[in-house]
Amino acid sequence: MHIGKGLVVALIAEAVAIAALAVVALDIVAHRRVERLGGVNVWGYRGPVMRQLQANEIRVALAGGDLAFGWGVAASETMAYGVRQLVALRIDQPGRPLQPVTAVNIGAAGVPISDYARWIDRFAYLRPRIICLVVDPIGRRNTARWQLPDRRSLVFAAFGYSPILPLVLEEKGAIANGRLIASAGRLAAALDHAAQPAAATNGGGSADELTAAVRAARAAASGVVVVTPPLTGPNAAADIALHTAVEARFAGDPRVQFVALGDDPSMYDVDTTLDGFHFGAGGHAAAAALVAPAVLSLLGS
Amino acid sequence: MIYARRGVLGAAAIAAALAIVAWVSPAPDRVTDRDVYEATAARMIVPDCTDLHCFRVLVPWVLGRLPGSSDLRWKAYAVVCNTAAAIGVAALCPLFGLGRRGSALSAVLSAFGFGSLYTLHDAYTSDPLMFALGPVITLALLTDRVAAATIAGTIGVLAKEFAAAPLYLVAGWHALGRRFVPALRALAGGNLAFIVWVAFTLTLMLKFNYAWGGTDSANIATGAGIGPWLQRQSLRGVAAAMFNEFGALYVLAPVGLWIGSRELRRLALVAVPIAAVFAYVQQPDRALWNFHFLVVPLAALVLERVPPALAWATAGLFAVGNLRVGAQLPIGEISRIAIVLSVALALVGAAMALRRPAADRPALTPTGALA
Repeated sequence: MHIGKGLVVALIAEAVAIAALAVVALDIVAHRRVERLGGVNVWGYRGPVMRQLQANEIRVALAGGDLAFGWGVAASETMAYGVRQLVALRIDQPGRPLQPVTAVNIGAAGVPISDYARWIDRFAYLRPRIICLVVDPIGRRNTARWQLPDRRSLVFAAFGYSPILPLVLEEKGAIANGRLIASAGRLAAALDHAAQPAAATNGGGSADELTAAVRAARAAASGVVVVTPPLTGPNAAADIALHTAVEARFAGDPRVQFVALGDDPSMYDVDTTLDGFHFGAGGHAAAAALVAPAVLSLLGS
Repeated sequence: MIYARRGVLGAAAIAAALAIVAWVSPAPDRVTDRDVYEATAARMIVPDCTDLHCFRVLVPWVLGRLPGSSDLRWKAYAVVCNTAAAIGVAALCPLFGLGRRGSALSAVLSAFGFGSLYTLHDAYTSDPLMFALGPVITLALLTDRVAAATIAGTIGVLAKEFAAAPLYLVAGWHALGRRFVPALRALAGGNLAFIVWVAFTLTLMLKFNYAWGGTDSANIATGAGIGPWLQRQSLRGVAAAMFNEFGALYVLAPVGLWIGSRELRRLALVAVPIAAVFAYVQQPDRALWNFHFLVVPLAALVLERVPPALAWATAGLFAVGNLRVGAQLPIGEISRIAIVLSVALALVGAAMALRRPAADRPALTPTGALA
């Protein structure tokens, strides 16, 4: 029996290709399992992948950092979907033409204000009509080891595909006390992260950076709602100064509106947050109720 | 030359008969996959397409570029592919130890079997192409044309994933016979087809947001296609559907397995787990006809050993029965009688074939690649 060299090479190459495809397939399956929960979809935003924009569709996007992302609640419980529901209730009236309202949460955990503009540009292809830009407090630092989507991923940087299998394997291993599974997750993460630097954490946040983000949102959508956070951050005075400065810069633009969550007493209720910062489902719903009128105002005008 | 002319005439007769059946077969009275296939034919890529059939693009892509009405194109495609399937099975038969009569009987049984005729009733499916590719790819592999088989399988998976199956089937058969080099060559071909299928599927999912939707087939852990299919039907319904799949062939094929060569038995044995997988992920009453190119020659081995009149009467009644259960022609009573008679004649034929002396059975190592 003589097996040709070419046949051996072909079989090895096929084995490698099948293994690689199997990893991608498993990663997609993992995304489908977690994208409606605490994870992100294959393109790195929360909830299922958005369908093509339909005629007459009103798409509302929620951008920003930790507050927008909504750690600790399901994708459908974040502010984006609350805004969608409230807007849809007003838009979908008898006798009016059908206008489906959809929402997408493109918030990213741990992304600093300086990166908001780049992040909005990245997802501009989703063609939102309104972008709600939820600003994190100045000095907010996210020190979690995993920040979704995983910006350290080489695959994410190269292709825009956000791998989630390493995280899922790590967590599965931790829950089931399966060292092998957890190790496989860590190995996959190490391979994907290579020599990338550690993830950036939210730092300062200048008026110029936030202005750039609003301009990026203005370019990507026909209306922008800038949502400033409750004043519970480490530097509330700086937050107020930042928001005031940026609001002044867009004072003459009717397509940019500002909503200050900090002005509403209900946002300081103990039940609003899960851990003193991240909104719970009730907090997102309460914030959505404050944001929705501004969105409706932009749609109406 | 005479035989070649007979073959051409036979193929033309089969095509003409299938065309008539397709013409008179009523339109399905239920929701079919037509809309999905027509959308793919018209638009090539349908963003956000959510159906298993969205991924089976080859047939609609080709038919969508041809002139004529949609019904005409799809019915013509079903007729052409089922005729090709019959020719392919007939060409495969000599390798299984069958003579000219056995080959001709196989062609008729294949062309007028349940699976074939059902696709004339509901032509919006990739199945006819699979029915043709099964015997064609197997024939190419058994006659050492691995490259051609690989190309056919690799293109075929763009129509339906089954196109890779014959490559794995023959790889397994070679391996069972300890012929490891041809086994690895066929395996490499099957792997290439599989890789192309997976890569294409993932590309459609990621680039165009395709999804399998609510298809049962993707739920491997919860019964896939067979689980819900069994739940939806009564025991009688399941039994009837499974019987209709092969009808009289259920009587003939096991006897054919008994009197066939060892290599043919090996090939059938290797096909069992593959067929089980497809029966599990799809509806078994539809999936199993993909293996007609093995079941039909096994049955023909029996019919070849009985008087021609009995053999052709069995095949004819089998075909008439399937006009109702497959093509859905409104001939209920005639069909029932034909099915009963075909099974009765099959029993007689099987008994006669088994009573023939062992020396008269087909050689264990027949001609061609199976030798």
